[in-house]
Amino acid sequence: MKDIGKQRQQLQGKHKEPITQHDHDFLNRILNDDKQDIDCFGDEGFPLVDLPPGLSEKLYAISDSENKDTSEKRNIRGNRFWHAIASLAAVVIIGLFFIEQSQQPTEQEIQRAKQELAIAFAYLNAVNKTTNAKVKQTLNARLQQVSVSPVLNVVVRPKSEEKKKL
Amino acid sequence: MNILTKNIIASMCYLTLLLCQTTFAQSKGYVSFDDLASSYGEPKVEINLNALMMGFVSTLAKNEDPEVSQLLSQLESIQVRVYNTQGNSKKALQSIDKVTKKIRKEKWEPIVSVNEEHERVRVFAKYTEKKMDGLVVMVVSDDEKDKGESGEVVFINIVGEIDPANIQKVTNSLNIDVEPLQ
Repeated sequence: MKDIGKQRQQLQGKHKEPITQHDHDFLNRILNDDKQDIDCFGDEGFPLVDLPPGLSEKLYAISDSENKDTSEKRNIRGNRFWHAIASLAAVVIIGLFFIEQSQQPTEQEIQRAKQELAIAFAYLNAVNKTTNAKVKQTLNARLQQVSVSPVLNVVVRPKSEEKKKL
Repeated sequence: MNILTKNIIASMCYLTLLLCQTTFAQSKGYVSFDDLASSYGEPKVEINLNALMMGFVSTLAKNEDPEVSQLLSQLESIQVRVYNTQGNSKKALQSIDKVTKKIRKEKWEPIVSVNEEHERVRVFAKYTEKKMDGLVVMVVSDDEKDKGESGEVVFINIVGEIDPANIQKVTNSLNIDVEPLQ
């Protein structure tokens, strides 16, 4: 039998609550390597039996299935995330649709817009006429100055000089 | 959450921000006339036609005049502000100079400048790769005391492509008799 006194003291030191006699017996059974000292009955008083063949594999399979469950849970969480994103996108699209619907103007507003457009274009038309007239006037004046005046000078001067001679 | 998922979410956020920016950003051809309110107060005429309204009017005009509808479909927005000069044409010219300085910094090019006895006109256009982004027209007309009419200063901004040769067509098509300028 091992000297389990030290180990018991260490365990006792870790726990604040006092260790009871039941705990002492349990510790003795766990920490004692000698098979003869192992109690054949469990804590609940049921006899301990050796694992039948195949049971240990089944027990390990349970733990494997638990691991699969956690990975499935992760997948579910991921799917929930994408579902949330898709839902948010759908809400935004529907919201935009309703906003667009509410922005559609009434017949009255369209008629008013048409009148305002006509007024705006009337102002533009008046400016256009003014600028066109001015540009034409300027171009005509300049062209006359450049092309017609020299010819007139050439034609008129000799006649006037002839008159003087006479 | 793995790296791939994080990257996908980050990309979606970036695309959403980009979409918002392109949706809500002001067009290149847009000029704000809000500063003028501090000088002139309430405008005599104020017109703000956004892209939505322009679209509806263009669609309505399709049945009546497809050519005009096509012209209107190229316009994004129109804004007009008309103020009374109250006999102070100097102030009107100063405000035009102020707007001119502002838009020249934004690479607007002068197209026409007319200085008549009773009227001054400034027209600017903005182009990007040979495509017109917008037009700004500013007009100051003096008081005509003999006619009993007060002077006006007009600011017009059109966002989109417009050919001045087609303005008369649109005016005729809209069929409203208006005499805006003296």
